[in-house]
Amino acid sequence: MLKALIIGGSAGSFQAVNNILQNLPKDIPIPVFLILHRLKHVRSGFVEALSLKSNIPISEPFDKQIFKCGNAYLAPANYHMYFDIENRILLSTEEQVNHSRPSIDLSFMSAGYLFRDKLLAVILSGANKDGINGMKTIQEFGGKTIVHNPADCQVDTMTKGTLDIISPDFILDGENISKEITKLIRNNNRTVNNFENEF
Amino acid sequence: MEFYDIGVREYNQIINSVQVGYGFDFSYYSPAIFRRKIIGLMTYYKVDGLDDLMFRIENCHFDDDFFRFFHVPTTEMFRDPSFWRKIISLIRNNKVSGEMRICFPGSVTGNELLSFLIILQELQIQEPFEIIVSNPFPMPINSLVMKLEKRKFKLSNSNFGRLELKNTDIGKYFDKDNKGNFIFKRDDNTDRLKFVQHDFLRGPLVNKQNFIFFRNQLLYFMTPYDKQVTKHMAESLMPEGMLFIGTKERIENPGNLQLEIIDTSERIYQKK
Repeated sequence: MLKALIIGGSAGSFQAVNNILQNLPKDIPIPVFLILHRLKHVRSGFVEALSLKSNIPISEPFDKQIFKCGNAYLAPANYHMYFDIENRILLSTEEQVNHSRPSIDLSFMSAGYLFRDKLLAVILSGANKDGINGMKTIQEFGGKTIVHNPADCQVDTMTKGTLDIISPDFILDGENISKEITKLIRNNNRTVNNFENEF
Repeated sequence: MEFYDIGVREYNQIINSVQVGYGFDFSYYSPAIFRRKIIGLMTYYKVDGLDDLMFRIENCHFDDDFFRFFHVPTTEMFRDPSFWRKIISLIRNNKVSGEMRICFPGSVTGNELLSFLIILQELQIQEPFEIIVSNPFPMPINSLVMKLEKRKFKLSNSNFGRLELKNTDIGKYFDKDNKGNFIFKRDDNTDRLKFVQHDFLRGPLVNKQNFIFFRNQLLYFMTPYDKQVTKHMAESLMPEGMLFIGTKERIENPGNLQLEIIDTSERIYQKK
């Protein structure tokens, strides 16, 4: 049973993220975490832009906010995002990692540690190496991994780098990622109620 | 970056070791962040597993460097320029009679404090004020590099430029040393700083404050300690005094603390 979906992306990932969000089932029985590199001084506009086509509500969490199934949480500009027991999102202003805050690596490692083999992670287009080690950690903890096919990415540094160090469960073109996510969730999570009872 | 699997039992052992070795209680610290700090420390010092870590902590092998890893980083100067524009507006419209009291609890990196000192200079504030710099964490204040004139700062002209002040060159407040580091120039305002050992976990300040800057620090407190610190800071405010927290932090039921939020975007709370 999957308990969370986490998606990391940087330069050139906006279209792919949009595509995933607009094709996810409205009643997706897990929370979705979006770790996307963004301008650190621009605090508004991104949630609104992603929400235009999204099938599920998106918000930027406050520190220690409890995450809920069927919602997407976008890492706020200039904060790292972690996950903790009691289903809480934690934020931090620690130093940048891979020149990034939010850092995909940090969030992926934290999610990998918390959700273990019940995590599904997706890495998308990007121009730096942030997220590569996070994907490795997630795989080491037994999580499922999807890498956006580098040939289909606008910028392939992040996805190629990931493929250099792990063999993911799936390498998919952008348009197929949401289909695979939906299939995996359907196969792994019978009903919303069962999931919520177990969480 | 290594990833050590630190479970609850190991986590508690580390907390105990820190208490044995250094005499400080870090149990208030947010576990997820503390775990990451520990991993950072272990990676940096090439610590050979958790037993080695515990041995080194209990025997104080890390000295003051240990605390460096547990700093609460408030990141760059003038983080959130829109917040600092709000502060400029508040100071310009300040109606406080008598000495103004401002508190910076846990000003470990000095970035927030320095941002404020520069704004005071930019606005050429003549009114009397007192700035208390305290430490809400159970760390010895002397173990932290608190003296601004000895600190090396990273300058951010881009942040400073967003404040919409006449001057856009932050460099005039700094000297450059022979290694190219920027060191803050001492001024009259620096002389007004009072460094005080005060733990907001234990209680409020006796002197009532007009402003308390505590941005992005509640993030690092585990519940219920975050609530305890917030309560003591609220008690330390004068009526109409203001508490500044980070844009992604919240105070639950502020009315119970006689606080009301007056700016939701910048998270500014005012004492009733």
